[in-house]
Amino acid sequence: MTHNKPATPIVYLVDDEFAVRDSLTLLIESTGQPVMSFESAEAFLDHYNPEQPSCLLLDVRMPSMSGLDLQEELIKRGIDIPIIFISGHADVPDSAKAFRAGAVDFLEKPFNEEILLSRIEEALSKDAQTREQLREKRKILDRLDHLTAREKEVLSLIVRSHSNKEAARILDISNRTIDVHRAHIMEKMQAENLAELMVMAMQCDLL
Amino acid sequence: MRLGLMGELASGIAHEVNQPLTAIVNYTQACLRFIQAEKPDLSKLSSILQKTHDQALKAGQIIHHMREFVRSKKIHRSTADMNALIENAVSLSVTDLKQYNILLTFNLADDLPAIYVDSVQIEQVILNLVRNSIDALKNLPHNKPRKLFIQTLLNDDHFIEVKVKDNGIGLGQSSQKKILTPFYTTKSSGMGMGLSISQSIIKSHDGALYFASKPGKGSTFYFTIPVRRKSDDAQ
Ligand SMILES: Nc1ncnc2c1ncn2[C@@H]1O[C@H](COP(=O)(O)OP(=O)(O)OP(=O)(O)O)[C@@H](O)[C@H]1O
Ligand SMILES: [Mg+2]
Repeated sequence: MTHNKPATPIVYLVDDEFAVRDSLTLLIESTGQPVMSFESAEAFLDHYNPEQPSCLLLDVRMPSMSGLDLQEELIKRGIDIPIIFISGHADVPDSAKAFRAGAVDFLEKPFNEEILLSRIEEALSKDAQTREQLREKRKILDRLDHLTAREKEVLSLIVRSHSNKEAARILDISNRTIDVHRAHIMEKMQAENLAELMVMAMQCDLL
Repeated sequence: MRLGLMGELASGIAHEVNQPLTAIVNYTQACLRFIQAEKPDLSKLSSILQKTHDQALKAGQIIHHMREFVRSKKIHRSTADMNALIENAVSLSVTDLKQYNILLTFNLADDLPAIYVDSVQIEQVILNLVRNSIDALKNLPHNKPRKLFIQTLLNDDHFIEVKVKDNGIGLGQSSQKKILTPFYTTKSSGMGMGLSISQSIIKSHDGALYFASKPGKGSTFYFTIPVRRKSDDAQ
């Protein structure tokens, strides 16, 4: 197994105001955290790399595509990036809408540096968590792919708490054959016991 | 919800000033961090301080603009001819019109009665409208003709009506609601004050400013000014 060094997380920053962009970039980079900034939502969409661990610092009010529009677009494209909205004046309706759509935070300009930096840290760790879950899920799906059709049937029965005997009856095969399938499943899925297998099934939405 | 001009102005100012303020807060925080380094990079620090300084000046400028706007300027009225005011104002934009390949046509009524106005202010209104039209036209695709049309006429209510029409980018429903509010702008170098100042000038002359627009088709801005009355002579 190869161990790829995880890519350094990056903060994407989208704000139409040059001075806000420039000063925020300087401030965040002064902590050693890389930043990539864009003056419009469109420019961000052009450069966004889904493989890049990241969070998004997003201005609410921008001329052509607003922050809320961008959030909507990201959801539509299935991009799950933690968003911290930054706003000139925390409009209550704006923030309510943003939160409902899953924004992690809503900060009012000008920001308290400590709060800003700690929110960025939280957002990045949330992103890391999401990515870890996704990797885990991919790994399990990959193992699942190696099961035969029959093994998949047996799997779906035993993770639903059917005993070997019941499974054998439902599939109309012998107990002995079920035992063999079951052993193969545990091996291919790299599961130590039934509980582990059930957790995997849950992660892949099989349950 | 309408806040009224002063309320809108206050909220616009708050938003505008907040931008440089945010930058100043960020820049100074960054400086404080850089200064703690073993050997602080002085040239970097001084460039950030310079930017901080510029942002503070910018905030001051915004407030200055607002003061200008709020201070009820005395109107210096005199008898004037609307068509002449239009020609003066447009002459200030000829270079831009040429540069952006904009075709300007007039339909000026030739026997317009005189008006009694502050000529500098009315020229400023015309100039604002023409400059906005140029901005709306200058980024059209090259194969599309860029047309600007200015018309004057005397209406039945004894008002002179001025119409500035372009076939530029136009305005969507949502921006139409906002363009007359102070500081609303879609331009990186705009202040968003042109139309609100124009509207307040026209109102103080007992006229009205309004517009119609379609995205992708163009916009027409109108304003009216009452013709000079007999009683104006006495003043
Ligand atoms: N003729 C036009 N066609 C399309 N949009 C227009 C037109 N005139 C005005 N607008 C829109 O209305 C906004 C506000 O106009 P306004 O003149 O008040 O400010 P500005 O032009 O942005 O800045 P400035 O303070 O320099 O005039 C513009 O930014 C633009 O989006
Ligand atoms: Mg303007």
